[in-house]
Amino acid sequence: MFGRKNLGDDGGGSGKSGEREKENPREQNREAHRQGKEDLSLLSSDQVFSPETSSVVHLIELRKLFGDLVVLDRVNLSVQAGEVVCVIGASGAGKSVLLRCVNGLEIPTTGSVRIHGEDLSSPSCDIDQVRRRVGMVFQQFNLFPHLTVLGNVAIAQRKVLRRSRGEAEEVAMKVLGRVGLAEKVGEYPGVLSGGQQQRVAIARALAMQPDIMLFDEATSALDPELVGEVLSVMRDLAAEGMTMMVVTHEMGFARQAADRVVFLQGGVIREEGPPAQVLDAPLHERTQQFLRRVLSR
Amino acid sequence: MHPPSDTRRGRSKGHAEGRTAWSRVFSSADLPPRQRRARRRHFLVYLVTVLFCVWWIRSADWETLRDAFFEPEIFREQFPEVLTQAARNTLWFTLLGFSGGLTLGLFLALMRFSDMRLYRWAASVFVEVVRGLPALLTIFLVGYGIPLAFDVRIPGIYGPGAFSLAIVSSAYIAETIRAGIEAVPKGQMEAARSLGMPRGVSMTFIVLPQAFRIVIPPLTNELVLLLKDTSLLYALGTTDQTRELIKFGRDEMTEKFNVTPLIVVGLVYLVITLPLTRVAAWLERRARLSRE
Ligand SMILES: Nc1ncnc2c1ncn2[C@@H]1O[C@H](COP(=O)(O)OP(=O)(O)O)[C@@H](O)[C@H]1O
Ligand SMILES: [Mg+2]
Repeated sequence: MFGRKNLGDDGGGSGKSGEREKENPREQNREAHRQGKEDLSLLSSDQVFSPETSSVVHLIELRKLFGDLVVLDRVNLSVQAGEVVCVIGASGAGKSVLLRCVNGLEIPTTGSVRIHGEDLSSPSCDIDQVRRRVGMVFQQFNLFPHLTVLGNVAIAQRKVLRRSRGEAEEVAMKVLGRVGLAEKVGEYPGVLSGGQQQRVAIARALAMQPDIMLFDEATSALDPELVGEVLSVMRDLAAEGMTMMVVTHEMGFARQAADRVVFLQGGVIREEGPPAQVLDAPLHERTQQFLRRVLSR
Repeated sequence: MHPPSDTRRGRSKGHAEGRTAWSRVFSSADLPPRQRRARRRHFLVYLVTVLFCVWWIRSADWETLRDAFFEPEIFREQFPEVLTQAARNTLWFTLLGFSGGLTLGLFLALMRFSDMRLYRWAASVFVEVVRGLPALLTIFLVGYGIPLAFDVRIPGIYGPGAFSLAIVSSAYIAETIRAGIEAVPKGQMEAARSLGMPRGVSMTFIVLPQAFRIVIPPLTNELVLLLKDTSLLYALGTTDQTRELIKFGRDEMTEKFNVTPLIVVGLVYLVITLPLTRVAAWLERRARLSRE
């Protein structure tokens, strides 16, 4: 059910989705989901995408300043549906800010962020509507400590998608089963291991049936022996066709799961390309330096 | 992530150390020299203290004290009115004032997180002004000023008193709740927002439940402070119907020309406040443990 083919979102819910519907068969799919008819099993994979709408995320000349500090400088990047893009770079390079711009947690100083062609900075854009389609997983998990695992995964479905409690919990059980935590539904996050918490956080995002998942150093806060279980969930997701932007220091994961690796340095994309190129034969000297540092650890 | 500390007055810590130190004084033989010297020093300090207390107690005029402060006859005469009337009124004023203060305080705290500057500004001006004024003055201003200014009468026999107490406590409660909201990690709001939950929904279902858990102990302390502030309501004038504990005690004291009624009133206060502060301390300890 992680497949992007069952992109169970609500199609934007505005007049705009109606327009898109004509040109994009996926919209009909969305419409069906909005009416709560979604089937949680994998749908057929032979969906047709027109090139421009298949770009899920489109960043254009993105600049972000904090005061005088230039954190992102003229970043252009687009992520196609089903693509897994790994963003690598040293600490402070602007990776988190880049990811947070994608779901509107940070507002770019100039330039634009488009999700399915919809400009986040346009006055008509409903950011909450966009965020339903963009799942995010944080380095510190950010689970809701006052809710059980089940409550964590169900709450946004109920408050945002207006699903009934029963329906939301049913979906929650399914996603939790997929991340291997079906038997932990009644626990509070505080008693879970870091790896389990992060898998709950992934399930929480997936329950909204997003079109794209953003991972901001999802394994960096974990003890080394717990990194594997989280990466393996992420690998499954990637294999099932989820569109993903993954900020990571796990070069093994990037090499295996990424379609494209983007090296960010000083707020600028220095190099991007398939993992084999960026990771094994980097053109840029900065990339070489960075990789030497990371891999020697 | 620290819980907000008491926003009003400092509070003394428990003194459980004394007892344990006492029992250790007599078994210091197997201790290292430095600790043994410390024990001996403690012993001397205690000895001097005890001698001083004995002298002080012996030098007091117990006869006069007992006549003025604890006249058994007068003590008995305070009951049952001190409970059925005075304590009852005090509790009603406290409960009504606290409910009002909690509602208004929550409202003010949320205003301080509004994205509209005017609301933020208005809320902080209100909070700062009320906290900067003595409670007695605020009670005067609200209890007399508002009916005069707007030509309204605050209804109910408890109405004026409870309303002015609500205004006073709302400012402190707003600060407490604000601190509680700020103590909830920023990531909670971000996670909620990233799931598409609007700001208000995220606040209501994610941030506030956690904030309230953090502020329950300081709010309990706030309740105790409010309970004691009911004694200021004499400023609004009282009838026999609305006499609270302090007014009751003072009236009785004047009538009987004896301090015993005040002792009774003090004991009634303690019977109410001590369990509350114990509960607050327990909640605080539990909250601290659950965070670790
Ligand atoms: N809210 C903020 N205010 C000011 N500076 C910030 C803020 N968020 C991030 N920065 C700065 O932006 C730069 C990039 O941060 P970040 O994207 O978190 O780096 P990383 O690549 O390690 O994720 C850093 O220099 C950081 O100090
Ligand atoms: Mg980061």
